[in-house]
Amino acid sequence: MNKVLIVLLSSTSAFSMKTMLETRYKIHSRIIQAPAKLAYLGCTYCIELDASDMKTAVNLLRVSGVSSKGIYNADTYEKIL
Amino acid sequence: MDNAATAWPKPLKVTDEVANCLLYYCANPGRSGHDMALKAEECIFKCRCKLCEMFGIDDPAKVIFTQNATHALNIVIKGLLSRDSHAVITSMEHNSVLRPLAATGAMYDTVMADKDGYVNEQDVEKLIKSNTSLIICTLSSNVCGSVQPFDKIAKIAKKHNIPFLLDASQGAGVIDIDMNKMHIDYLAAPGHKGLLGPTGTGVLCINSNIRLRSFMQGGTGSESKIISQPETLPDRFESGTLNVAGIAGLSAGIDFINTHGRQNILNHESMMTNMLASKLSDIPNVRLIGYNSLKPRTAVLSVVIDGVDSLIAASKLNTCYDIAVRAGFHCAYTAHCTLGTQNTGTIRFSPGVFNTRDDIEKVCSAVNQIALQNAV
Repeated sequence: MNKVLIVLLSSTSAFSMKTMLETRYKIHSRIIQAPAKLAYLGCTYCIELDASDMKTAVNLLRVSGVSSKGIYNADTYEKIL
Repeated sequence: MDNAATAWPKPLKVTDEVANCLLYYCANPGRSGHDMALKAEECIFKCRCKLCEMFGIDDPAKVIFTQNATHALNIVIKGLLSRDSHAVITSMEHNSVLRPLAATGAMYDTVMADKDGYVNEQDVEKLIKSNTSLIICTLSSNVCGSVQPFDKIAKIAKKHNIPFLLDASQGAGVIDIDMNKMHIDYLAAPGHKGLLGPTGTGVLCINSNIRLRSFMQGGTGSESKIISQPETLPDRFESGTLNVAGIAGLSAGIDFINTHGRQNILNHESMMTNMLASKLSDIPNVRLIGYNSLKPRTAVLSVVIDGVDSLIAASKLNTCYDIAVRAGFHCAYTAHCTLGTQNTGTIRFSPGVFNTRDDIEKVCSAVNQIALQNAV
């Protein structure tokens, strides 16, 4: 598994997460629209990042209070968390 | 001389950034996933962050972009109040507070300001009832520039566990505001006055977890499958396409303030206003309204020329002297009643960051001539 997707609630949350990952941990990520399969409420954004950075991202979600709709394998869309 | 209506001119970088946005990246943010849409969203996000820093809140998602301060005020007033509610306001409020408040049907009590337009925070506490759901206070009067003891009023509101809404239409960008430290729950501000951005921009900053009823429902670019308005901020209050180019310009306006220093801008504007007040008060038949140089003020000065209708005077200033002011009642009739100008209205001068001593001299000369022409 190379990449993971963190599905967030809005584009603002996505930018918040991306900015925090970069400024606090120098982790680079990409914002993309969440694939329809993962956006079960329809239309949202996610952060794509290296699987190796997932733990840091999970921790950041917890301490920052940014809500997520789950973390998925970017290739298979299998739910990880 | 009408910066209280909207700042003009805007800093050059504001115009540049609006044009830059329109030319290169003005896509619809938060809807598509292509590069231009993400760049537009990034611009919006950065502006949210700048406003967080300016007003002392932590979460950019709690910065809501609106059309103007009126829109922002409506969101809170109609989001919190109903017929059963009670609110406390001041007699210096603008119609952008009074009208939506009236529309809710809520009862309210008004703290009377003194003849210079200042309220006493202890009078606010006396009006609090068991069902008081909101305390609203203007940061500074758009008629006479009196800065209210908003931080002390916010403290009283906090003591009684009542939400506090600050109308920062006059003063945002020059007066120091820290929503966290000062316990301000809601702040409404226009983007186009002290923040030096284009018209068509405004902001509501939220520093509270109280759920507001949603004001306008529609497409948010999120949760498209559900019919109910999302709960997530800022989407809940940002239905429809944002004024992207306007927000890009607003962002540049905030940069200008940060570069030049909020206090420096305030000092300059205070100097202009004090100079204006000093020279105008020397002109016979000219009366300064609600001017108290010893108390906190923004750059707003109202005058009456005895024997001259304020609107006719303003028209002469425009036509004969190329001086732009606003005259009349300034959408704040209760403020005029407080100041004693309910029959005449006033001529309002509001210098800005780009006004100079030369401008002040020209204004005073023009007012002098108008007063002389109409002297009995």
